[in-house]
Order: sequence, then C-alpha cells, then structure tokens
Amino acid sequence: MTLSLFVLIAWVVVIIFVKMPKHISYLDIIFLYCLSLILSTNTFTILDVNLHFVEISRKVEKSFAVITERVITIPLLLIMSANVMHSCIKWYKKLFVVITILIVLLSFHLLLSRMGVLTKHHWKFAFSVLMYTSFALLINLFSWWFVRLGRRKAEND
Amino acid sequence: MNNVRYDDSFNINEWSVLIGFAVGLTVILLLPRRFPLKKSIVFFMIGATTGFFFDHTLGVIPVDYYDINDTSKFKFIDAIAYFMYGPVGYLFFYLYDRLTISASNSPIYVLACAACSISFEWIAHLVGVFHYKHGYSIAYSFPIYLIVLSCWVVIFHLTKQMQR
Repeated sequence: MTLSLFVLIAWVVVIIFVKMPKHISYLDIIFLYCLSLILSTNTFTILDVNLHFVEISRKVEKSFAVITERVITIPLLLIMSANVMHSCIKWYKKLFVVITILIVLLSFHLLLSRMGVLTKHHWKFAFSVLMYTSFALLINLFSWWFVRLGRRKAEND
Repeated sequence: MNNVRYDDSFNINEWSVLIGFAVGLTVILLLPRRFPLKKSIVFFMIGATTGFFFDHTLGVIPVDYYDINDTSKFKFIDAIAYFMYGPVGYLFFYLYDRLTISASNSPIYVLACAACSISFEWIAHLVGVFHYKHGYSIAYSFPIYLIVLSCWVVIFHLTKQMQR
C-alpha cells in the first residue's frame, strides 16, 4: 500500500514535470537532477545511518517507498522550483510557486511519518522546513550558476 | 542497521580513494577538450550520481549489500569515493565519442568498459574500499555495470540529439 501510494505520487509528479513549460535546457535539467539526487540521498542517509534522527523503516516495502521519494519525487519537485525561477513571470508568482512546492514536499514528508515509514527522534517539524528550504535554495543557486555558465560561454564565443 | 567497524586508521583504502580521484581528475584535465564545458560537467555528474545512487540503495537498508571504507556509517571519504565515479563517467563518454562507436558496436564497448569496471572494483575490494555483506559478491556487480553503462550510451545519444 505505502509503496503503491508513493509510486503513484511519483508518477503524478513526473506527469506534471513533463507537461510544464521548460525555461531551462535539458542539460541544465540533467545537471540539477544529479545534484538534487546527491543532496537528497546523502541527507537521508546521514540522518538515518549516522545521526539516527530520522530512521527509515527496515521493511522492504516501506524503504522502497522512501527510495522512490528521494530518487523521483524530491529531485523533480526541486527542478520544478528552479525551472519556475527561470521563467518570465512576476517575482511574487515565482515565490508563490516555490512556496507551494515546499509545502508539497513537507506534506509528503509528513505522510511518510504518518504511515510509519520514517521514525523521528530529536527531530522537529521546523528542521524539516529548514532542510527542504535549504534544498530549494541550493538547487536554485546552482541552477543560476549553471545556466549562466552556458550563457557566458556563448557570449565569449 | 548495525554499525560495523572494519578499521580505524587512515590507511590503504583511504589512500586508494584519494589517489584514484586525483588521477581521474588529472586525466580529465590533461585530455584534449572534446565537449563544451557544460556537457563535460554533466558527464562528470552523471558518473558521480550513479555512484551515489547505487551505493545509497544497494549499500543501505533494506538490502545493505556492502559497506564502503572503514565503517557502515557515511563518512567524508565515502563521498570522495562516490565522486571517483565522476572521472569514470567522463572518460566513458569521452572514449565513446573519440572512438566514434556506432550504435551496433556499443554493446561491445559496454562489455569492455564493464570488464574494466569489474577489475577496478576487484582492486577496490582487495584494498578495503568495498566490504561485501549478506551474500553479495562481485559477480552481482557485472550485470549492474552492463545496465548502467548501456543507460549511459542512451544518455549520450540523447544529449547528441538535443544538440541538433
């Protein structure tokens, strides 16, 4: 049940991602995907294996639900936020979309806890807010750098 | 997950990781430039991400098939070990493009690269970078390499199509 639900969520995120207009190139998307995957997998492993703050269930079905979440859902939502930041819409609309994406990420995190996939020790909800906000900030910073890297190169050529 | 400690000192496995990473980066920098900078970074990142992805899925619960370096816990040297896959990824794409391998010959290229990867993994296992657990052996890595490298070939052709 848990795995099916999170696979369904991941698939819906994939559909939204594929359908949304892209304001960054495919190379930028691959780069950002790699970066967000490294970021999410590392953070989850450190929080679980090293610190035991957010322990992932040892049951096969539930742990695969987390893998689905950190390999598909989190990276794609973070790329969506970077994509929106590179669009031409007004800044308050961009901010609204990014905050919505953060709320969605936090809701999935809460859902994982409620379904017994994640067990939290010495971990407050505020830390999750901080974690996902840092993810979004980092991905956006790297996206600005990487997108401009291509533009600068083209200008020099 | 129980924390298994294999050794405590900074020895051959850490040195192998550092030297391997340094050699990989040096080779990338010394090779004549073949791709635009952005593409080179992406090829490097694809390699590193593959390392991170497999080691954070096969190396952790529920399967927990192997540990990296001194303990089951995640350490900074482990991150460098994953980034060692970066130069591997770049070199794979570089040689694929340099040797102008056709789609029909790509399975042979993938097989050759998988054989090289298995050899490097065996050396890494001997020096204590990888510690296999729960019945996992190097033989299981071979099909994984074949699948991953085949995916890399597909990614290479996709990036080429995007350029057009």
